[in-house]
Amino acid sequence: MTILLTGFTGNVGVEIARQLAPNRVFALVRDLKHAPRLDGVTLVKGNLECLPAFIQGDVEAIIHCAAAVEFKRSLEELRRTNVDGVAALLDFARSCPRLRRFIQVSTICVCGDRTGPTPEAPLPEAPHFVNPYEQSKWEAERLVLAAELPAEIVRLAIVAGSERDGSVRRPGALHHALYWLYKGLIPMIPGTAESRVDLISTEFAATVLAAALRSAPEPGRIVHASAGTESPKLGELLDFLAGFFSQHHRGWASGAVSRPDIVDRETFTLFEKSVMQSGDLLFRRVCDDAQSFLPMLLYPRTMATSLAKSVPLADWRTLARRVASWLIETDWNRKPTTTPAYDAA
Amino acid sequence: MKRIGLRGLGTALPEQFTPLAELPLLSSPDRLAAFGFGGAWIAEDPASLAVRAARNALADARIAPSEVDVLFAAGALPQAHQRASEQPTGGVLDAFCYSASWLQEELGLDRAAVCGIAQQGCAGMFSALRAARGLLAAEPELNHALCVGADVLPPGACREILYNVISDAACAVVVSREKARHRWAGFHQISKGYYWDVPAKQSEIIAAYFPTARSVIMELLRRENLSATDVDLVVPTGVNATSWPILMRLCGIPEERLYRPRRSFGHTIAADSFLLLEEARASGCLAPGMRLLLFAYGFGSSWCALLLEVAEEEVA
Repeated sequence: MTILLTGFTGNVGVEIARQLAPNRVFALVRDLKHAPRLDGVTLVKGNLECLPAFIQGDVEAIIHCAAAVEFKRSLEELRRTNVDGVAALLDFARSCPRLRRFIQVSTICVCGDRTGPTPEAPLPEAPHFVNPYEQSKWEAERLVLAAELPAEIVRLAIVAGSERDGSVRRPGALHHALYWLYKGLIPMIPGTAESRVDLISTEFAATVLAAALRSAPEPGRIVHASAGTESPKLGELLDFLAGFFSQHHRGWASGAVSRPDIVDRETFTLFEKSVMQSGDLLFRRVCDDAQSFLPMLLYPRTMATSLAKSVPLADWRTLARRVASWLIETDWNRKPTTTPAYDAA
Repeated sequence: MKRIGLRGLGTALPEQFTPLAELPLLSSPDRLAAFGFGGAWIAEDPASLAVRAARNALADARIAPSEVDVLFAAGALPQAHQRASEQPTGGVLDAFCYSASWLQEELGLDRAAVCGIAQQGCAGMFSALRAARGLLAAEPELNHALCVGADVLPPGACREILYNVISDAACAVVVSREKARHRWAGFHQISKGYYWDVPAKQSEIIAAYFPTARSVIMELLRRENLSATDVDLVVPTGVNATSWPILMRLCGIPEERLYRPRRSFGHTIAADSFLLLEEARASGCLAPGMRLLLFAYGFGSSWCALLLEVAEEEVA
């Protein structure tokens, strides 16, 4: 099968390409010079606004993994990539005569403020969204499902990093939150102790996607690449991280840095208001980063997992430990690691 | 031992009040006004404030200076513990002129043993009270300890510390074995030396403030077999007014149980809790049997929580 993969240089793109072997993969990249090299992958220069028409005759499947994931951007900015970009790719797909599959990589965040058991099903009614990113991805799902193409959706949980070595290609909202947490600068987290933090590894995300592609086509199907009931509760995760950080950080080891309190929305809002009034620049950054990620923890839910159940899932403790180790060792990807980083080579 | 408590309170504020607009500050006056600050009380010398507060406390406790067994003098700043010699030599001897000893002499506390309490920041008075209560419990022949806290910032000093406007003030408390107005019901302190370097760690200190404050209060309540709703009144300090509702929510103490000050005096380092306790008493907010929670944070860093119970009996 010949596959067009977008988002190759993102957090999970390389691993997806690896999992798609021995299929032929065209990886759409903006910058040929700096893109990773991988056997079986042909780099194709382009982007969602300038798609490579010369491969349309060959493409049998499209895996659309590219997205703008900066939670703090405005809805208009995010729509440009996450909605308009999808529309452009769907148009492109309609002109691929051999196309059999279109897989949209989405996110469990499209559920917004929904709580409780969450089925692998479309969300026809827009929930209340925690941030514009969620909304843009929900709008993208609607486009894909209405496209009259053999389209399916795989919603990824929070991709923490590699379960092999903990590496993270592009630190995102989770990793920013971990940074402030490690530095002892997060006094409280909005949520409940029972809220699940649905962490998955890069490899797990890619394996579920590859499994979805290998399985029989089911246009309109939605799959969750999620740890579901195996994911840690927020209280458990914070306790684990506090224990782990205490091996690396004097403040955590002595108990001077405390595990953040888990608080309700009103309390966190009061804290944010106080920070904003103070004008403290550092805490504004902490709150900005927290605002983009942490509020989703106020909505405890458990994602249904049908296909993902058949994929081996690393224990969340192992994953959290490896990712946290890698982040600490590389100072959040600011300096080279002494252990081989997860890469395409 | 269960009758030990606070028998007399006294406070002293300077005569000069300076509005925010005229103070040396880091933030804009508007920003600090949003945190509940109107200005600062400014004094030149902590000694006169300390004497005034101590005399007020002795009068409130209705005891004579000669009845005081121990004097604890608390001060957050190093200069609070020194008194200029009347005949300075210019040598090292000048450094041994202590303000606590001067205070003993000035007040005529002729029988009192003297002790200084330092390096506790704004929690200095709490440490003094704890030491006083512990001493009375340990030595049955002692009846009255006088704790005095006084701090005055150096002339021209910036009046803003971590978004708090600092006033000069003094407070004094007589801790006695009998006839306490507020019985000692419990105390807990957490000290974290990790935060000793205040300028270097100020952001981390701000972040540690809430979780540690909650921990110290909840541990105190746990030790006393009480729940958060057993606290009848929280007597705040003068720090950033927006922080108290957050702390109340973190602890699960109903917000309406936070004492709402009738006057604003900023944050006075050591005296806030006692200025407000005195005010609450004077305004008739306190009733016998009420449990009062006092909390203070001091650079160092120490988080202190003190639980008092309003006594049935009045001072004879």
